[in-house]
Amino acid sequence: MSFYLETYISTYVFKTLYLPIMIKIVLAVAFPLVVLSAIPIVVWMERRGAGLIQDRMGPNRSNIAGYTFFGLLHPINDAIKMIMKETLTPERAKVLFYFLAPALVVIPAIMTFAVIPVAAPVEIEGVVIPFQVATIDTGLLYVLAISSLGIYGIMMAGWASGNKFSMLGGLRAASQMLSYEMVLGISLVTLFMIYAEIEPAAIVESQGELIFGFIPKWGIFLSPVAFFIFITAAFAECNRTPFDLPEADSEIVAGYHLEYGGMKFAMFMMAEYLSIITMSAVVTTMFFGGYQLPFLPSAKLHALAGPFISPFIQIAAFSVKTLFFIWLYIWARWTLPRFRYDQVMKLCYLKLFPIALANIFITAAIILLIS
Amino acid sequence: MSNKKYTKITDHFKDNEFINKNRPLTFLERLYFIEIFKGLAVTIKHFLYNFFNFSKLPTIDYPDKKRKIPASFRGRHRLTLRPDGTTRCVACFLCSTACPADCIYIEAGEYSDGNPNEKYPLRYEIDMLRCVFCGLCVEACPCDAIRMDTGLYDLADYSREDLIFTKEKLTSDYPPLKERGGAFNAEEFEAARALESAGKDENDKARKREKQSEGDIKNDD
Ligand code: SF4
Ligand code: SF4
Repeated sequence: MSFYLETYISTYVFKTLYLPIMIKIVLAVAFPLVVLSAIPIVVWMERRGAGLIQDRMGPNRSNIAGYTFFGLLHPINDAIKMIMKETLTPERAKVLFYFLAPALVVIPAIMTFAVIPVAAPVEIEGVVIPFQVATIDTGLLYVLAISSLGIYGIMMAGWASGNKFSMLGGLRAASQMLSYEMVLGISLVTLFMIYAEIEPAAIVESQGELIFGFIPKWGIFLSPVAFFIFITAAFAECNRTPFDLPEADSEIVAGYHLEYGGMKFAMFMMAEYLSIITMSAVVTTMFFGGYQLPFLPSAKLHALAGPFISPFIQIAAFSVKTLFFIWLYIWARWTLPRFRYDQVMKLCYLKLFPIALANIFITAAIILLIS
Repeated sequence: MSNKKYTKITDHFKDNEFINKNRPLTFLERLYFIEIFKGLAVTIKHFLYNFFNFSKLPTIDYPDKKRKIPASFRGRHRLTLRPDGTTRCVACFLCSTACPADCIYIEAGEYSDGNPNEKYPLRYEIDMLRCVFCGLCVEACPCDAIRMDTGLYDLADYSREDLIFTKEKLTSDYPPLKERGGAFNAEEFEAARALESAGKDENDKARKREKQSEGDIKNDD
């Protein structure tokens, strides 16, 4: 039996046909799990970070036999509490859509991560292992398309709750996210032109090179304007402070998730943190060299550390960069006050949009001049 | 403490540099861009300072560590006892008459064994949910039978019934004098004061820490 298995494993058909599929399946299961289990850590970062920024300690009471693990147990407690809560349906809710909405918010938030490469593909005994769930030609357009699907869930939640505050929150979310979606896309066009690629893995590979021989060819050095526009739009995309108007508690109580309780509410929170993680990953991939270590492109790293260790080094590099941007989200939340709604719209259409367009033309002119 | 001082203070604040006057924003401020980084710098300064000086945070871990209360603190009541173990209370009803919250319930009983005090409370109950901790009952008592020097203040419970304190609870359920924060007479008060100033006090430490962190992080807006 084992002999049969061994010969089968070494066959050409297995190696080229079944093994890649199996690897993809493993990746497709592992990616969402890792991203989902990162949520409690992000929540923890947010709470303890908020505490320390505001000269408090942050939550540190929950413990197992006296061990608090720096307050890491609080998200677990939250999950238990949320799951045990009673399911309430408001009287005027449109039941089907009311229950569908949280799922529609979470699913796109997880899906976006599929095209992000977390390490360079390695070749072990003729089998190529990619560290990216889906390598599709549309690449980042997929990210933009899927992340904008989240709007449907939020609009649906706002409308189906049968509450005017929720409705207002949903409308705000819809108009804000649609407007910033556009700026987000346009700021990326600059990078597409520079890299002449829209596939994330290829973009990250080319970021391993150097400009003028000493600066890493990262997006932020190539087009800082695009970076700042992108990060502003990304904040607005995730409905995070200073753009958290859809859930502005001083005006519309809690906005679109006002009527949701228990696990359904938790799903909205999860979606928010998921989109923070994904957006941070996209920023890292596009502007900060993704998994590339500065001055050590993946080809060199493979030669140095071998195909078994180098993916781990690159995953670590990617995680550190992504964590920094997640921290930036949290950091900004406890720094900046919320905008007024007209300011949000003016910022988008009168400032960011023209700047992003001008950036495209200027970059195009420079590329023409150089080539 | 006169009006004069008050006007002086307002005069002082009239042209104070600390008051933010409404002024038009400068061009750089209107850009908002640089101001964001200034704000981020302020918050990260706090974060890093507190991260590396975690023990200096002014927070007291409440149920584990308690802030020591001042000696004159009016805490939960207790009923004092005579050396022979009977309650000092003679069920005169002065306390319940004085009580503005009307929360003391007394049922008087008579000694049958020839005790010279004749009366004692059969039932003595204080409804802690209504008590406003004014201390009038203590002042009214002619026999020094009720005191508020237990230093207890965390009076939370799960049912209303449990918060009506009976005679038994009032006579027994409190910490011994040495561990109490509160004081009743001058001697106890002085003793508590001495303890405080000897620097053994958590309070002082916390206060010191507060001052320190204020001093360290100066230029906040
Ligand atoms: S402290 Fe005041 S309110 Fe409380 S029992 Fe005494 S007299 Fe009544
Ligand atoms: S506690 Fe004092 S005032 Fe109140 S009934 Fe007893 S003796 Fe009288």
